[in-house]
This record gives sequence, structure tokens and C-alpha cells, in this order.
Amino acid sequence: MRDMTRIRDKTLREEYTYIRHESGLSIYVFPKDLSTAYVSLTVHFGSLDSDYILPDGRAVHLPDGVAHFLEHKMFESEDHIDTFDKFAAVGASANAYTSNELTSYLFSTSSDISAGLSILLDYVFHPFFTPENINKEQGIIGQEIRMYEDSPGNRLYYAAMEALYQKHGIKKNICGTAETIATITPEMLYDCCRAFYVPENMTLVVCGRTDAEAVLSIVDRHLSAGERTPLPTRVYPDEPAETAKPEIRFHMDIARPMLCLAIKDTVPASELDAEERVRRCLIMNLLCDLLFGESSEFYNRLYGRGIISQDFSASYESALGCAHFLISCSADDPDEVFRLLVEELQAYRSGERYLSPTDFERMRRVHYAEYIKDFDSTEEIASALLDSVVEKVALFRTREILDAITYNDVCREISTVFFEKNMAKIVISPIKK
Amino acid sequence: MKPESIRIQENINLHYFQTEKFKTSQLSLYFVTPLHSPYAAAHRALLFNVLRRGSCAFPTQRELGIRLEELYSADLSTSVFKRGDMQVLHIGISTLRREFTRDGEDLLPGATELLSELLLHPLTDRNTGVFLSDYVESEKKNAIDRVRAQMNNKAYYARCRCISLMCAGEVYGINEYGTPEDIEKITPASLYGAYRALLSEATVEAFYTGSSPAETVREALAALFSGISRHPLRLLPAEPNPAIRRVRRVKESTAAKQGKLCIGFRSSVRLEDPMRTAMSFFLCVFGVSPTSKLFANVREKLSLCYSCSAMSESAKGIMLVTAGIENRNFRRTVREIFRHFRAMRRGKITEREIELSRRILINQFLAVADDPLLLERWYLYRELAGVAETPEEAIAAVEKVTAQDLRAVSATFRPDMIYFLRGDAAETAEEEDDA
Repeated sequence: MRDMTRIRDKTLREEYTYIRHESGLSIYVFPKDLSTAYVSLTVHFGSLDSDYILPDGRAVHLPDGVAHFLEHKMFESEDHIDTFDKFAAVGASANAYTSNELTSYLFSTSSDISAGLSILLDYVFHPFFTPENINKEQGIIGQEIRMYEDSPGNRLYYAAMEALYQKHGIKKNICGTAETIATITPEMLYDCCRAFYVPENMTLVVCGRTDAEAVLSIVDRHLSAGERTPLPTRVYPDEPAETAKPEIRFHMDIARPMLCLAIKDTVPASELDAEERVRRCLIMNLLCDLLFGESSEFYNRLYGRGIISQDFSASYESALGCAHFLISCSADDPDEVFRLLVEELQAYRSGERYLSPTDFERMRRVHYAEYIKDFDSTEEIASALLDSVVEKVALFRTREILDAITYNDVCREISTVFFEKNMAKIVISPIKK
Repeated sequence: MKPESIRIQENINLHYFQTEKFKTSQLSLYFVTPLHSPYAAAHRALLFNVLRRGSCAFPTQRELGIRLEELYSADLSTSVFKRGDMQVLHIGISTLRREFTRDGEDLLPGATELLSELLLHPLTDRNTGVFLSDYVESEKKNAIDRVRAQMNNKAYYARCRCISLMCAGEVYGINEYGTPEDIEKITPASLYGAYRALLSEATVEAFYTGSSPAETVREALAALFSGISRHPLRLLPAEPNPAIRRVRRVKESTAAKQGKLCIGFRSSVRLEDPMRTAMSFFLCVFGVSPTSKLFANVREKLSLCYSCSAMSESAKGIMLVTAGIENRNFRRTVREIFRHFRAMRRGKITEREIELSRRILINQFLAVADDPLLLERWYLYRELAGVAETPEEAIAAVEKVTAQDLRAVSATFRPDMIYFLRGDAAETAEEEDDA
């Protein structure tokens, strides 16, 4: 008997089906009456997975950038027919991406998804690596790395991670460096596939004009119940509570200075269960928007004085084993903005400034509305579904958790995170000409 | 999806899409004027940024922000862009449909009230009767900072420089965001004058996508424009492209790791031309998709770049081919791009390349109906070009494009400018260019 569950949300007027396929693959089918369907097959293997122990006890250490390199190379096939061409021939547009925890292979189409899904299930399970095709990719990825090195936003982010985290892999560039990717061999990539590219470590998400039966009929043709090899044990470094560096400053060819105030969360993610982590993330994002969002007193006061402008942004993010606030902007005087931000947080901690219940309710309404709006695009839905799998909290449960958060929950956190010892300052200055 | 076209007034039209497939409703106004002087363009570009700072009911940006949040995080967006020789100002508001609000509240009246507030009741100085000096000065600074920040994104900067150099002296060469020099000259009085002129002179194309009845939307827009004395300016198609005598080359330098190449081509084929479908097809085969000649060769075969692609401005007849490369690969990359361009001209396109692009283009046109913004832009661009064509009709046209049509379109292109923004922070030196 197949393990199949249908989950419905009456308010949202949406539903999806979850199937645990006998091969071990997790499948989510979200019917949606839009022209463009979005399908992704995701491997739970990302840039953070550089160290692991195989079932036979061997320890493996990978150079930085392997997961991303592997993603690029999956598109090669032994029949030498371009994978993009195969997708295009059936009216599908293919792509892929690598993140800290995932490698995702996807396509979108306004035609019937069956042919595209078949191609997807075929190429991701049939890797083909040679020294020649690896060598060629090093050139392409080398240019990709250079492109990111010239991006101030990208450099600001990685500097913030380097400042906050002593050991955590989130500070490593997902692409690696030209030096680390130069050491990649076909054997290394085949070994990764054998260890991680197995159905029980993968999630298929389908969103569009289709249903569970249609999807299963395709999956059944490609995957069957087989011997399950145990997954490797991933080894992640222990990250101390303290930050790595209080300040990082460097130069780039930009018009005005840029600032990032990064704040490391004090509660280790490992101490929370899945729902508590999601709840904390929602509370922190509400707090962030209340303190520094577009309707906040701080943002408007500084904007009115011409100190900051529309590129000011504040958010809270969490990944495996880490969580932080990032507040960034361009500013003529970045150190002054940093001082004002710290002063504002101190004022809230001391009780000199405080949030109002009206503001809180309004912000909760905003987050509720943003959650609803995500369901207008098959790509956004598929992305939200995948996030819910990584977070281990069901998609529709997020709204229920949001509904249960109180004004006091948010106010309480003001005194738990905003300590200067958890903060780091990143400044990029223009090159003097 | 085809809109119902409803005339509000002379030169003010509503394009109405009735649908329940989105959780939101979208109301957009596009104010279109001729792009005729850099000074006027700078004023218009600044306008909506100042209007958002304060109106009578919402005198500060914060109060406006709070009101939008109360309307279930209504999304107010404003933007400026160029379409051929026209400048377009967009203001749009997107709201949750009533079925998804907690108490079945209809948000359309709140949305139209807000638009009306911003457009018709800006906050003005009691003494001078024009915009507040504080708001104007701070938005001028923000606008200048934004223009100067174009250099932060090297690929975007290279494209801007290429267009600005290639089209210097043409109307299309006018900067639609204003130059820092022209922005600096703006005063509260001159901006207020530009504001009154916009309401009077712009052609307005309004779009609504959602489930409110057409009559309700029509009434709201009619009320909004009822008090305004109107003298709309005539909109003209873009000037023809000038004759090209030789390919121009410009090199500039920046402290970046990677060089950015941008090659500008001119074509006589524009959106209003019956060859428009063949043109979209050409772009797809040449440089838009992962199956295109540029991606498959310049990136995949030769590893010269991570991104190499083609994009077009169909109201003007310009194609830009861009690539991020090492300085030392400049000559080789230019040679490769022209090699594939000449292949297109000679009809060296395989049946497979054609059929793959056909499928990709159809996919793209089918996706238009999935996004209110794509729908708006599709019909706006065609309205401005005087073309009536639904995505379904465009798909039928795509099915009929032949290799011969592609050759005919290829023949209309002339290379005009090779622009290279050298990345001087790179280790390797650039090869000497030919004289």
C-alpha cells in the first residue's frame, strides 16, 4: 500500500499530495491551474556537505565548490546530446541551482509535463564525467566566480558570514574558488553521486496542471523499490557562540560606501525542534520588519534625514546550524549608520523604546498576506514546498504557527539577541580615483 | 487572455482582464509621453518618487507605508522606463482579493482611493503652492545616487554605456532616469510644473487584472481623471536607425575582475513590423536560450564565459549581445560572436535549432497569462506600437516561421558598436586590438 497523504488548506483554497515512493523518493504534487508548470528534483546535498563518513567508515573531505560543480556537470550525458536540447524538444526550459543544503534540477513548461519529468528522472540518475568535460567546466565556473567577485552584494554577504562564523561552512563560497575547483576529478564526482544522489535523499516537487496519479505513472517507469544503501553521516563543525571578527573593511569599484550590520543569533538552532525553529524564524522576521522595515520609525527617520535610501534592507535568515540578522544599505557615512543602528537596538533593549500591540497586529497581517501571495506562482509554490521539506514543518502549518504568535513573544526576543558581542560591521568603501 | 478595452476618456484607456486565478488583483497606470528633452525626462523620472513622499491624507512616507500595510500589505510600485522614443512612468497597486482577507473586506476602494490621493492630492508648501523643498531635495539626491550606482553592476553599466554611446544624438540616447547634471537643476517649482504637465499631456494606459466588475473599475478611473484638463501630446514611433558607415569600437576600464563586452546591432524590424515574430525567433536561435548558438558555443564549447546572450529593444530595433569575459579573450570572443552572427545571415541554422527555438518561444508566450505584470507589458508594448496581437495569435505565428523568414530577418541587422569595459583588476593583460 502506497504511503500517500492529501493535505488541504481551506482558507487558501489549495491542497497537495505527499507520496513516499517505494524507491525512497519523497514526492509532492501540488495541482495548480496555471499555464506554466514547475518541476524540481532536489538532492539533499549542498555546499555545507564537505565532510562526511561513508557507511564503511571512511571519512571524506571535499574541496569547496564540489556540489556546485557537480550540478553543472550533471547536464553532460553519455549520448552527447545536450540535455537542454532534450528538454527544449518537449517544450520545457531547464535549469539548476546549488545552495548551502541542496542541489536542485528543475524545468518549467507550458506543455504536458510527462516528457520533461521523464528526462529529469533520467539525466539526474545517469551522471557522466570525463577529464575533458571537467576541464572545460573549470573555465566556465571560473568566469562565474569572477562575475560574483565583482558583485558588491555578493561580497558584502560573504564578508558578513566570515565575520560572524568561525567554523560554519556558510562562509564558504558555494562556487568554491578557482584553486579548489582545479582539484576536482571524475572519481570525486562519481563518489558523491554514489553517496548522495539516491532516491531516499531526494525530493521531487511538481506544481501545475497535473495530479498524483499522472506523476506516479512516470516515476514508476524510472524508479522502483531497491536495496537502500545507508546514507553517509554528515559531519558539521561545532560553531562557537562567539563571532569570528568584529569588523571587516575592504574596497571595491562602487559609487558609494556600503554597510552591513550582521548579528549572530544567540540560540543555537540545534537546541530547537523543527517547529520551534520555524516559529523563531517567523518571530525574528516580524521583529526585523517592526524595527527596521519600510513602515518603521527608524527607517523613515533616517530616510527623511537623507542618511539612508530605498536600498536599505533588514532580514533574518536561518540555515542548517546557523541563524543571523543582516541589515545592509549604501550610505555616505556607513559608520554613522552603524552607530545609529546599534543605538536603536540599545534603546529597545533598555525599554526606552518599545513596540505597540497595534504595530504588531498590523505586521502580522502583512506576513499573512505575503504568505498568501506566494501561492500565485508555480515556481514560488514549489520553492515553499521544498523549504518546508528542509525545515521539516508542513507547508500549511506555517500559517497556523504565525497565527499563534503573540505580541509578548516578539517583545521578549528584543532582550535575547541584540548584544554587541554578537554583532559584526562590514564596510565596503569605493576605490579612490 | 484578451483584455476588454474600455475608453475612459480621449487618450485614457482601460484594459480589463476578468480572472479569479490569482490571489491578488492588480491595478496599473502607465503614463506615456514623448522622450524629447533630457531636462524634461529628468523631471518626469523624479516625479513619482516625490509623490510617494507625501499627500494630503498621508503627509509622510511612514503614514503611507502604514496605510499600505493595513490594506493587507498592498504592494505599491512605481518605475520609469523607455520604450522606443517614449518615456513611460508606471504606478501600480496590487491587493489581496476579498476572499483571502480575514473578514471578506474588498480592498479595491482603498486601492483606488490611495492612487487618487497620490496622483491628485500631493503635499504642497502652503506658501509656494508647489512641492515641499525637503522632499524634492532628498529625492534628487537619491536619484543622483541611483544613477551613479549603475556602475555597481558592471554588466548593467556596460549595457547603459553601449546604448548611450551608440545612440548619442538620437532621441533614444536620452537617459530616461535623467543625468546627474539635469537632476541637480530641478526645483520644487519646475517639478510641480512637470507634474501638472504630465497629468495633462500623458497618454494613460490603465490595466486591471482581477475579479472586481469592469464597471466598478471604469467608474473609479473615470472619477480619478474627471477633474483634469487634458491636452495629450502626440506619441510617435521611434526615429529610424541611422545609416551605419563602420563599426565603432570603444574601450573603457574599471577596477573589476571580469571584463564586460556589449555589442550593439541595429535592425529596421520593430514590434509594429509583420516580421516581429521572426525577429523573436531569430533572437531565440541566436542568443536567448541555453540551446542558442551563443550559449552552446561561446559558453559551452569554448568556455569563454559563464553568460553570453542577446537581448533586444523591439520598439527601437536594437539588439545587444553581452558577455562577461577575461580581458585576454576579448578579440576571440568578438570573433566567435560574429562568426555565429554570420552563420545566421547565411542561413546556417539546422532544422533542430529551429524546432527547439520554436518550442521555447511558444512556452514563453504561454507563460504570459500566468503573471499580471507580463500581461500588462505584453499589451502595453503592442498598444504603443499600434499592434493588436494576443499571445495565442503570436503562438500561431511562431508555428509558421520558416528558415527563410529567419534569413530575411538576419539580413536586416547591422553591427554598430563594440563596447568593452575592461576589468583592470584581472591578472592577465589584454591583447592589442587591430588598428
